Amino acid sequence: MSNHAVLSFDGVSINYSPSGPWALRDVSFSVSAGERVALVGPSGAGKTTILSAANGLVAPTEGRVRVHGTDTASLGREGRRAIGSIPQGNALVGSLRVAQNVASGRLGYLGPVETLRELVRPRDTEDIVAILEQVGIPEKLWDRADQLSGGQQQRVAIARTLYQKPDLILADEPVSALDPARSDAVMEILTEAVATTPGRALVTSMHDAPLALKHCDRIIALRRGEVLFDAPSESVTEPQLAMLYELES
Amino acid sequence: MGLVNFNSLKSKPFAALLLVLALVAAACGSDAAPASQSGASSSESGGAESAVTEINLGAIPDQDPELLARNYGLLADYLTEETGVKVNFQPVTAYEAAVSQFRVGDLDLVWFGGLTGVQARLQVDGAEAIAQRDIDAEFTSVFIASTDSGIDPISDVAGLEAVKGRSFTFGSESSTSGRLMPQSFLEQAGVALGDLDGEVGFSGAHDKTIALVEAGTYEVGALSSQVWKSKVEAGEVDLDKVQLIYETPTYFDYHWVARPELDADLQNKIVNALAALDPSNAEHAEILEFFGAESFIGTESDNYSDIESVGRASGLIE
Amino acid sequence: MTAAPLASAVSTSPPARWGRRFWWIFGAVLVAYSAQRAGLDLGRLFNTRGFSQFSDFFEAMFRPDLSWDFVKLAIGEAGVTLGFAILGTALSVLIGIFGGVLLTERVWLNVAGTSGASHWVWRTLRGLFAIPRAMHEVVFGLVLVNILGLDPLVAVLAIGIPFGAVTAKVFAELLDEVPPDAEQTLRAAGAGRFSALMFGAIPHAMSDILSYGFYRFECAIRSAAVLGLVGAGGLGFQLALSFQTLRYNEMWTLLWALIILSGIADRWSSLVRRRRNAASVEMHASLSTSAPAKDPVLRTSAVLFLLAIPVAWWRLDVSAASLWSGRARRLSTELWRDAFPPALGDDGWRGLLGDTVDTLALAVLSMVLAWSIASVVAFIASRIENPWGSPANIVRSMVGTFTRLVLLIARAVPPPVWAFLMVFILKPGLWPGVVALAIYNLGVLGRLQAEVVENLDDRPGRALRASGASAFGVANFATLPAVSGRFTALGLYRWEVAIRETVTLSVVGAAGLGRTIRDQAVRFDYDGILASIVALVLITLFVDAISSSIRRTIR
Repeated sequence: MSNHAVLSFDGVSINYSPSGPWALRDVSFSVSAGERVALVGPSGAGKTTILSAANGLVAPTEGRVRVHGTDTASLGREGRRAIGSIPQGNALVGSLRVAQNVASGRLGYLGPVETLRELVRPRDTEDIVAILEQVGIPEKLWDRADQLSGGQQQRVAIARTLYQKPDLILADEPVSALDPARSDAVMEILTEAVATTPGRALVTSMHDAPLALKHCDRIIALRRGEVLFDAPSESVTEPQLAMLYELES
Repeated sequence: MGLVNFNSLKSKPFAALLLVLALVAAACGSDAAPASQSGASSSESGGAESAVTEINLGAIPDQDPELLARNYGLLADYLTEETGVKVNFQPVTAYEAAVSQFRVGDLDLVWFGGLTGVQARLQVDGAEAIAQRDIDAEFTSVFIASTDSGIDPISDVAGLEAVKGRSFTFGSESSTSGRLMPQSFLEQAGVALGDLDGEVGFSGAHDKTIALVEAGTYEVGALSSQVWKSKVEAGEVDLDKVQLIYETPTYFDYHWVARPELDADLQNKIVNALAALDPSNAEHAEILEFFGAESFIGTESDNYSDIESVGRASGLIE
Repeated sequence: MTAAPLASAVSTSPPARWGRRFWWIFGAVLVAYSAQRAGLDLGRLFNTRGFSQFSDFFEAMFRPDLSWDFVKLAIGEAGVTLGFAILGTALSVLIGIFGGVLLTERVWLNVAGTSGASHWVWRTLRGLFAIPRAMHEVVFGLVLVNILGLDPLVAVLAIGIPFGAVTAKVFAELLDEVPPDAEQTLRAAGAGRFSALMFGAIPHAMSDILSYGFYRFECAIRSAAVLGLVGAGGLGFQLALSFQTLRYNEMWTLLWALIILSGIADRWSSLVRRRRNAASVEMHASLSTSAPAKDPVLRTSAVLFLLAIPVAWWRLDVSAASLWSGRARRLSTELWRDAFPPALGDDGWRGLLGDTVDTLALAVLSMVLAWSIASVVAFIASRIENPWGSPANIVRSMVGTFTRLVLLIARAVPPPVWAFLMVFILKPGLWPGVVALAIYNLGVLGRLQAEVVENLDDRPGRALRASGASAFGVANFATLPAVSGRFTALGLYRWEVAIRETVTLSVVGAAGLGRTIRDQAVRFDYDGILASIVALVLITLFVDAISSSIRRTIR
């Protein structure tokens, strides 16, 4: 795998309105292949903004965001295929079946005719089932997405991203709606996905300090749009993280 | 998505609400009062001898509503003056609605068509036809055809056979000149409604019949000759597209029908007042012109027995 | 792949959904049969010669009669229509609240939650409320005018009763959705069933109940206009007068007044409902998702509406006393005697059946037409975020505003007027009625579906776009699947309404039961009318049943 960073932030500042406060202020970091990074911090610290900027959905006011060395401002469909995102609240299409929801992860590769064919019936069902097995719910293949439980929906959202086979997985609070046992299982799937695929990296925002420490190898702590610290998990203690959440609440 | 919009519009509902209230208030200012039950005074009385304090006069409009309101207003004022009883005018949109309102007693004196007048009398014991126009004893209908249809003018009733196999529209369902009599003449010529092309149409009004035949929607139509003539005179008919093919023999049509609560004395006063309308008096002339008549004359229910039997034959009267 | 053995345990083809297939075939057969019934000979469909008259009407749109007298008249009549709508809505909410309580299943359960004989009382009540729900306002108007005569109460009751029955059903469903804990606690403590509901459930559902009331108000304006057209007074009444002599300029003065009035009512109603979009309200779906506890706009609107009630009451000179007058009693017994038992016409069962099938065909075809067009138009008519954000946004929102105006006109002009206009350019038969009803419902559906689009959850689409999907991919995998269910449900609900609306289409050649009722009305054939009304109620209940069973299958 190449040695350049999968994702890099270079002096990035973002404000949503010219007069408003900075959502991000001079943030710089880079993520290499194989890394599992947790973004932690209280609400409004800028976690989601970082993920949106990494996705190219929000343009930096200052600085540059690059994925595989390409500026996200000029990210085309090809570039986007490399980025898999699991947005907050999973963003499945409730009226479609699990199979189609998973299949939609590869829309970046499909032309109009193939898109319609996938919609009628996903072609690569075996591959989809295999991925659903990774997330533990192969039997839900033909269920409607909105008839699944919250935890199952979250797994489908992850399956969709895994089916996409991206280099960079961006997950926004992937476990916030789940109970502790399920949270652990879901994080396990995500870290597995990075560990078993060379060249892949994970950036996830987290609310749960112990879970972040357990599953990620690097913590970026944010507060009011600025990086408070950026350190390997081993050097961060649980009380340190817990304090971070208490700061602003 | 919508949230953004709504927040920016927060002040608007109040403006809208004020506007709505203002509208209600504005309505209060105008004098376009809707029909109310205020005129029911006579009908509650039950006995014919009790004094009538108000007469509700109704009419079915087949003319410009503004003219209608104005002229019936004039007529109501004139009758109020002559009879000494307050006369209110109430327009009604549909023939059968006028009959229903006459039946329940909300209208006491109505300018009915031939058929509706008979229907109304049959539904109210003691109601009588009291007056008509000079022209109503010799009313006619016309059959008109679109020029594309290739139907030539006809000289007698039997000639109406030419309508067989054509598409055809009447006017309003219970119009005498726009439906009842034309249907009866068609039957005399041996043309049943089933012999026409497709279902027979009911345009809803004389003017609409002309418009639909002109448009070619129907090949043939029938309507009151009075309306046809006035529209032709006014130059409102495109004679390149529609032409007169036949004018029917005469029959009795429009007339005034009074409820029994209006006693004989009052009915006489009304008839006399109507008959006294004089074309040489400018104000009277306006009313007469509006009715398209030279004068009003007294009439009696028996004059309409032919209409009644035709109505029974066609199932419009049961 | 290590997972291969497990994978084979899951079928690689989707399970067949027989229910869904059945309804697809059913729908296709129904549409095909309806089209065949209406006639598919294209050569006999259009009447090109009448186009100039058709366009004359629309040219008059820009030349309304603006003489002060007529404008004054239009404003006054708009006030009458508004008054009917206000009082009609007020009555429907009143009936709705009382009826809703009676129709709530919980009220008929014991404290222990078991049901006994009272279950049957509940069932019977529900059945009874279904009948007025199946009858159009115009049918009520037709009956009431024979009892009350020239009385503004005719319009108020004609709107209030059927709307009240619908509202009661919706309220009952809303109350059933309120968590039962509070109420159960009260009943366990010895409170009576009604007082427990009053304290335990109604306050919880109140804001939804009021929101729904405002949606009904918006519908009531349109109903008041249609009722006017058949003689009840107000804008519709004047419209009918000007229509008889085809005075298009006058008609447009009145139509513009109606358009402005319903535009204001629609906008007000959607502001009050705020994030409870019309679609969920129309579909009586759970409304509570985002109901704020204290909504100042809703409260102010409710207070203003309450204030408007006495104003309208006084202005229209309404007197409830006429309901109990001896005359009303006498006339209603007479009417009942004339109408009962219902009798078949000359054509007997065959005639009645034919008319009923025509009515069904009319509703099916017009809804298929309206729904297909509305499903496309909804995307154009929906409001967008940040309308002034970019030149493209400005163009898009201008097109959107124009489309919304067209939809507003389509639903403000009453169906009978559309039907008559259609007869200029279409050959007489079912089609003019089909197109007229389709245009009117396009106006209603287009707006409701645009609200679905506006309230669409855009996260799935964003997620797909972020992973490199094309616009086409996003549309097919996120947008369309997300809206299609609601679109279809809305279409089916409107189909139920459309069956009722066919009764307003007695004009030229638009066949079916509306035509028959008109014929019978002219002959004062009351027992025939009753037979037609019964047929209409039965077909409406039939369509209601089919529609809700389709909705259950496809949801």
